[in-house]
Amino acid sequence: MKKKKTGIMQKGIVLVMCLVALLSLASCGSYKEVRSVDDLEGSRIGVQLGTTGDTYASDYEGDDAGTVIERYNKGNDAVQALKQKKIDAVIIDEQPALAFVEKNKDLKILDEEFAVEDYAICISKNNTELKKKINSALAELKADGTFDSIAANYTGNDDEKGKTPYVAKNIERPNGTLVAATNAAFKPYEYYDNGKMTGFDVDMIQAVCDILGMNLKMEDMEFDSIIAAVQSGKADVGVAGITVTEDRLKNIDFTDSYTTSKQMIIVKDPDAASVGGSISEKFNDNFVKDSRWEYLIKGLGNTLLITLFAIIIGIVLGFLIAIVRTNHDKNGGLTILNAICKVYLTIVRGTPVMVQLLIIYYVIFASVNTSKILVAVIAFGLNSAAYVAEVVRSGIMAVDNGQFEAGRSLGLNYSQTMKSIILPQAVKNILPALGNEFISLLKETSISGYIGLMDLTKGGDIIRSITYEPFMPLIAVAIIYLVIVMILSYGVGRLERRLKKNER
Amino acid sequence: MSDNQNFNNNVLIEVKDLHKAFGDHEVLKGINTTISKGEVVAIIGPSGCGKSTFLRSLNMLEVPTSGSVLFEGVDITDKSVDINKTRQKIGMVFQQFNLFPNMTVKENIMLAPVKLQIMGSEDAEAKAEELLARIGLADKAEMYPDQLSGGQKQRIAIARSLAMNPDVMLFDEPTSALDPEMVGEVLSLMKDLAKSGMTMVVVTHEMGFAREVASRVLFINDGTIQEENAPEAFFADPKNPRLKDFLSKVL
Repeated sequence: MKKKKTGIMQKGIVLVMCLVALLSLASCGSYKEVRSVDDLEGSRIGVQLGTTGDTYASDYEGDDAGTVIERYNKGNDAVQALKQKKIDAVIIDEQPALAFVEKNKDLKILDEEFAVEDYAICISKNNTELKKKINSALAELKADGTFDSIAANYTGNDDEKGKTPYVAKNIERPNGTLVAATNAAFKPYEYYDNGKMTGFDVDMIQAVCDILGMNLKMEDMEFDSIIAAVQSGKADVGVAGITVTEDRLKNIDFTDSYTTSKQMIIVKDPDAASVGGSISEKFNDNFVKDSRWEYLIKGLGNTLLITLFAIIIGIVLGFLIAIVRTNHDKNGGLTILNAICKVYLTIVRGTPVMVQLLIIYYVIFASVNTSKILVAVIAFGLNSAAYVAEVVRSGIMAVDNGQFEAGRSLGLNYSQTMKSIILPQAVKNILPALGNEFISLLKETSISGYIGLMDLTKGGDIIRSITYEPFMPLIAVAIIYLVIVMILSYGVGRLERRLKKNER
Repeated sequence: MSDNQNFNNNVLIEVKDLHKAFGDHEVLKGINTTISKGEVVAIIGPSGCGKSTFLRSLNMLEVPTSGSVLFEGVDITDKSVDINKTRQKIGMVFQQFNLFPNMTVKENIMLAPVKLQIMGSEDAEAKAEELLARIGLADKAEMYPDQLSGGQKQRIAIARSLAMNPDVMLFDEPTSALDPEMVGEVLSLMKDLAKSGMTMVVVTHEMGFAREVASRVLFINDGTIQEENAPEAFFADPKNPRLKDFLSKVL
């Protein structure tokens, strides 16, 4: 036993080292220095997917100069790519640009602004009532100076910053809950600080809720999902430094603009000395400071929770489907149920789990306010059931038909034969395949972030969005997944050996 | 055994105009016969003649296309008959033994009586031990089938059927998958069984067994019974030219 254990440890260490080596391979590419707006032609431009920066930059796409647009889910990702010279410039809103450059001494903002635009709160087209209320609340905030105080706290000069955060009023809130969708990786408008979401937009919408007498619930999601969430009723409003554009107005309504912003260009500062810190400094910055490791722990908790319950759904439903299918194959009955199962298997196995997750969240549970964990459990459980069903079915089919005949000839009926003779043998045969299925399920849950759920991957992403440092959070997340997978494999292996003992 | 020629009226199984087709291929083309209590019927015939299919029709492991099988006077081809109840009275032994590999020898024998609530598990255990003693394998009770020889496996398969106290035992080529040196132990157990008065229907290639133990021998060819007789007459004086031809090849 002891020998085996060290074997697994060594294997793990080698794997981690390979991973690190792969990740640290320098990314090579032809870097082009961008000094002005004119230089953008022919360069590689990074933008945040679905932002106006994306819209503007898209005009360059496909031109003769060979401009390439790289679209990232978060501004942070674009900035990280720029730092590693994977791209030449990032077009992004002014305030986040300032925040990024402040944090990253090797970047600078070009003096020349790219475009000027208005920010507003987006709201469903048929919600004019709420729009009116928010507009009047915004007007009130501007009139009584609250708005300026919030603005100064986040976008003011160095003397003003951080002095006047808005504090939610302690009042009665009889008018329900306002669900506000945002993308909390857009400092200073919305971002995580000490595990809490904060920022210009967050304070502003809180102030609006205080006036309207409503509770506020912030939903963190990908930026390009916000408008869809508001349209589908998942959220009442979108507050994420959203620019009013012609295209967006076709789908969604906006309140009055609350501030203006400029689209700026961030490039690498050729004069900056190369930045870096010791490993212990980086470790401290990524995990220890402000208890940032808690993002990983909380995310890990959610990942395990989702995986566990999805496995339970997968096993129960998967076995049921497999039994219906084999019963049909062997006895010819259950035609309708079998047909339903077949359609289910075809759809689930024929579409990506990510799309299924989004459909369940945005379409099936569109109008219901369901817990995201529950949505993820259902999505991954339903997905897993399809694969479990086929694994179980193949396991049942692999049991010699003579076993079945022996059971039936003794007078056991179909289900008794199945339960006492066939399934125990089938389960033993399929255990490795089932173990693999659950290992991939665990890893698949890493897409939960797409519905704004903070799983382990998303937890690492949040740290990354605070520290602008991809290496440590990503490696940490990878190692945690790896360790859990190794524990799972070990458990399955033990179970397998225990069942094998029965035979010899 | 010559007095077995006189059929008593104690009919156990009656087969009437039994047909079975797999798709377009007709395997059984009208079988008629009657099996009485205490009879040992050996069925011989060339490969693919339908003798196994006929045997498997007797407990509905193969569902006939037409015709009827009356077991103790009840037509078991009728869908309203609870076939599971009937099968409890019809033991079956397979060419490939079909022991349950994930259970010990004792568990194999106890499974059906306990699951079907015919015996409590203590009674079933006593029964299993008694049967194992009878077949001379009492020391193998806690072993798994994969640890046993073919002959031992088949004897345990027979014990497993006997645990249900069947009225008749069907044997589907019980020695065909065995190494030659193990055929004897299985045949001798079957002989003992026959002596104890068990009704048996045996599909076999062991002509010696048919001649020595059977009370009647059936020759099935091309989906019908072409000759049936007491063993002495059957082997000494075959009438059907196909049977003559067949016997000349196997004897």
